[in-house]
Amino acid sequence: MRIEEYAAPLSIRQRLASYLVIVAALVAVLYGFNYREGIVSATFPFINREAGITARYPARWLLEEGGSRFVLRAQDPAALPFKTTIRLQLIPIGSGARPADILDLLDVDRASRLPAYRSLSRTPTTLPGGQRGQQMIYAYAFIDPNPFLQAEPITVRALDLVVLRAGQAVVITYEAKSDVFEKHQHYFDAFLRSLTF
Amino acid sequence: MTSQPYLLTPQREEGDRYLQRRVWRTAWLEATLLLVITAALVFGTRLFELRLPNTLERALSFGYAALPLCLWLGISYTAERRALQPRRNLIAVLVLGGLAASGVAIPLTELFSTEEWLSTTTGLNRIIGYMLTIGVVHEFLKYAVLRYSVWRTELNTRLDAVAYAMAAAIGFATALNIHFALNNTLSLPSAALRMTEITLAQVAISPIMAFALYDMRKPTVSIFTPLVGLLIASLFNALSIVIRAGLIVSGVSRTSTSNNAIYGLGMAVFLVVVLFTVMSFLVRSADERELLRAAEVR
Repeated sequence: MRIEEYAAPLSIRQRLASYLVIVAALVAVLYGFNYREGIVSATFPFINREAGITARYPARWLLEEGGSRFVLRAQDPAALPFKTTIRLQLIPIGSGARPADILDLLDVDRASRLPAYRSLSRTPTTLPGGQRGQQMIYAYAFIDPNPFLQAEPITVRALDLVVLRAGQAVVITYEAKSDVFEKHQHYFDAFLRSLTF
Repeated sequence: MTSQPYLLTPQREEGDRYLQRRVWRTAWLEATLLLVITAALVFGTRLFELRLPNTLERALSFGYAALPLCLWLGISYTAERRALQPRRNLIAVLVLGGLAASGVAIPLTELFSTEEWLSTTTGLNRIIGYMLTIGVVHEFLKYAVLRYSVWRTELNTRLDAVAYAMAAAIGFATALNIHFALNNTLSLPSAALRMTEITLAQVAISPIMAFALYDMRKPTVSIFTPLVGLLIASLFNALSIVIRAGLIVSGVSRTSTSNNAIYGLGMAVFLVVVLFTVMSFLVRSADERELLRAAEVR
């Protein structure tokens, strides 16, 4: 079927159809952004009654709890080659211990364990819940333990946040590949906002 | 002496269809040739364990990005030029398709960065997510290229709409392929597989919007026709991404845990076979229905 010499002005229906598809495409794209935000910022609750800690971690991340070195560890499986990590650990302390002492302890421990470890800065900080503590930013080279991968070392940037509570230091750590450290930090900030202990 | 009656052969109304290029035939030929070349390249390099220098492999990947365009120029466009009534402005539509992809679709796709948030969600979330982001953007842009260029002047038949939609899709896919070749350091067979999938998916889905665009030329068109076309085309676009991702994951074994990219072609082949067959049937039956209706009116 052939429509010849079609030069008549557009009918109302044709105009509406044209406008509707533009509006629908715009709405779909805006909803797509909204959908993205919904998925990216979705969280799951973490409750550890024994340690008296509750928080919310990103829903897409893999949670590990009850390890020998931490209470909680959440990792982003999509962040390759180094999985962005949020870790929370409790360290028993004696009376009179200060957050800076804990950071010194972590400093010494990591310097012996992590290749090319460097402590970059220390600053006093306050958690969204109002607890005062100290934070340390550091960097190290991550080398994949699998020798068959023959991967280059990855520069990892990390942040330790130490807050004291009765007889314990709460150490909250955020680690990411250095070039995505700031990009992924909103996950850590959201985690801190939801953290209660 | 008896006079012989002088008979005039009745003029077949659909005869003028063949004055123009036969769109489906050239489209099938291009798709088949692209598949054959890609399969030969993949299996050839595996069979002969061909190893090329990295720079040469990248240069060849870049060249491969233009292969669908070359096939289209060599088959469809040449056939069009030879036809009695060649369709005009096909090259302009193709260039517009490429510009829309490189100027809008690629920056928007990077802004969405879908692989960062959709790759680990559920299947349904992935289909909806890809449909509302990449799917809608790609299909709307190809629609807009046709709607605001040749829609009023050149889309005289449904096959015209399909021919122009495929030209826009080839331009669109070529821009996506060039972007892919410039931003990835894959081996030549892997790059060829990916670019073939991109091209076949774009071209196979394009007749859906063509069908809706032709219907939009009727003054009594339903206002939802292009919207439904856009949603269906976007859904197929999303499915092509999601199902491909599922297909390329090969089973984990003691000897291999890697992906098998050649399975990804399965989705593109499926789209070409199903959509070309269904859309050519729909176009033919819609044309025949309209001819019958017109004959009844007469």
